[in-house]
Amino acid sequence: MSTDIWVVVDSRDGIASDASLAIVTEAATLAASCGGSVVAVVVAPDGAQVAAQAGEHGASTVRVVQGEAYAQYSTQAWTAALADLVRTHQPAAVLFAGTAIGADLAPRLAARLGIGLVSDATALSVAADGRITFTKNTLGGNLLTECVVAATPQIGTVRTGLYKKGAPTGVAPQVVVEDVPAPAPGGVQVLSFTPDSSDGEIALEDADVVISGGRAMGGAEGFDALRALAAAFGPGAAVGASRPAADAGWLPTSQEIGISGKTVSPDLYVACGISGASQHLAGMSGSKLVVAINSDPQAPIFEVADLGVVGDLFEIVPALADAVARHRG
Amino acid sequence: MKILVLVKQVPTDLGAVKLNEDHTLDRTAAGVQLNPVDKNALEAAVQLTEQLGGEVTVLSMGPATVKATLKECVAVGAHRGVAITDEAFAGSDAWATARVLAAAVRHLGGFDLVLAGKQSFDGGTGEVPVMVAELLDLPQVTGVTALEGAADALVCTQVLDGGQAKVQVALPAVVTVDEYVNTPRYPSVKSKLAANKASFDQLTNAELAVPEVGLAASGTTILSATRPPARQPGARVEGDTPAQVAENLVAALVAAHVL
Ligand SMILES: Cc1cc2nc3c(=O)[nH]c(=O)nc-3n(C[C@H](O)[C@H](O)[C@H](O)COP(=O)(O)OP(=O)(O)OC[C@H]3O[C@@H](n4cnc5c(N)ncnc54)[C@H](O)[C@@H]3O)c2cc1C
Ligand SMILES: Nc1ncnc2c1ncn2[C@@H]1O[C@H](COP(=O)(O)O)[C@@H](O)[C@H]1O
Repeated sequence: MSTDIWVVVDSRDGIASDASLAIVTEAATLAASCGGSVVAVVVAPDGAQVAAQAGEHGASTVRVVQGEAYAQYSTQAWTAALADLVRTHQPAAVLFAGTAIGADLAPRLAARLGIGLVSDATALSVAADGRITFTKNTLGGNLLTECVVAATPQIGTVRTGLYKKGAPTGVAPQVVVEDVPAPAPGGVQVLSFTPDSSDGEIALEDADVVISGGRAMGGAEGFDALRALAAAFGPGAAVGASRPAADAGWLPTSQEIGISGKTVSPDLYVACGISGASQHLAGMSGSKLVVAINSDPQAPIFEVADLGVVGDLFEIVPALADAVARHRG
Repeated sequence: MKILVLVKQVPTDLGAVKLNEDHTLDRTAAGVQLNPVDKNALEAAVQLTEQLGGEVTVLSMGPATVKATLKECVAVGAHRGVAITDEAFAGSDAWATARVLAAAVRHLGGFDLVLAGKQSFDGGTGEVPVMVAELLDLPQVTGVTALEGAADALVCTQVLDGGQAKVQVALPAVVTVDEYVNTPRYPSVKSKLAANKASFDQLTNAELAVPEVGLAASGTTILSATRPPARQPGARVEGDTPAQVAENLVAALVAAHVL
């Protein structure tokens, strides 16, 4: 077994996802403390560009599986390729970003290898024996555990938004193009892929600042005030929603935050007209600073907010957007 | 179409689950419920059999109380329920659970489709159905938000990173759904009464013969378990006008280094 830490880097159209690059950067820090090195694994139609991005953010080696067979994500094709590489090279750990693809793929790979995995880790560390240890926040935030995979490699997915990709290192990685058997047809055929229309806007999981609105927004146009506040914070800010607001179609369901939506861990989370139900808190409790704006002084969100404003969000939010814009000049 | 739905019994109140000294959990004060998104999986199954004909079986591994969960399922359209209960399965993680469920699916046999929830409410992450799919060597589609059925294939919509994919999966397959896939029906007084009379098949490891089970067969090892410190309620930010509140809030954000 090697001491290498692998990170599976997913990509679309030659662009690596920020979520997986962030894990590459974090793994580079871990590897430095345990004497291993970080290997990015890229499965893509053409991996060269993605490999370079993985190298820029901390991978010393990139293993590439490429070809037209990998034009669209396929659980079966990806699992077969990764299992083949893992069996050949025996890494110490295989990490995934906890994205939709990570959640689809990591358990399938673990089961193919006949071992367990840890999903949705909120922190990574290295144990005395050199194994990667995962911290997990479960039971809706009521339990914190540290765990390991009983066998090797340590397979895990890491909650998105907790780590940020590092500044480009300027170091070119060693790129190894791997030869794996062509994938067998997997029974799933992609009919179409429709990209999200939120072009140019930062993904919720990658945002430093998340402004989210709840039922109190009253409609799609209510979110304009939140978009204006996000704009005042700059390009690192994104707008999210609670379940009722996403259910009502005021924001796309991809922007829902909570147990059945996305998990975010920004530096600043501003909850506007959100009561603070446990299912919502599960998706944002990792935020570094929480601000709540709510007209009900008894709203449970105030129990978790670092800074609370009791008031009408339709008065407070525009005033805050002005004040932030003025502050940022 | 013969459909199997995997349903899990989960605590109602996660905050009331107690942590024992030995890292195990005491769920007695937390109540039980059918994992919410499993209701959507069941509803999808019932709708498919209403359109295409067939039968829906619900399968749950857990303590003796899972029978109550199976009853709840029968009251909203499941035709048959199977409980997998065995002391030896205590302490199973996702990997150990998946091996038992896969063995049960094989034992029961003949399903065209296995439906499951995207994730369980008590901290599950959707590993179980994916592992079951691998153990049965079936294709999988996870986190489905819309579903159209035909006799030998399903067309599923899936939210992936950066967009929505529409995929066609050949049957048999394992499909997990999220809450957006449908709105589960409610039981009627009549269907509840009928469900009360339902009896369920029971499986133990005597029938399934899974070689390694329970805590010892789990794929993960817990090194430590603690209750995270409750987040302390913070400061109120006040002011005579919204503009003043906003100024004070900006000052606090600057002090906290987030602006
Ligand atoms: C299985 C399951 C899964 C769920 N998953 C999620 C999930 O992933 N994410 C999620 O968010 N929810 C989820 N929920 C729903 C959750 O339980 C709550 O119902 C939901 O979070 C409440 O949303 P809200 O805070 O926007 O609305 P409400 O609870 O209705 O709160 C609205 C708040 O706005 C305040 N308000 C009203 N007007 C104003 C104003 N003018 N200015 C300021 N404040 C105002 C009110 O005082 C109130 O506190 C789930 C529920 C279940 C059962
Ligand atoms: N013990 C169990 N018995 C039956 N189904 C289960 C069990 N555990 C998980 N499942 C199914 O797998 C889904 C995802 O659960 P999890 O992998 O625990 O997040 C659930 O929504 C159920 O459909």
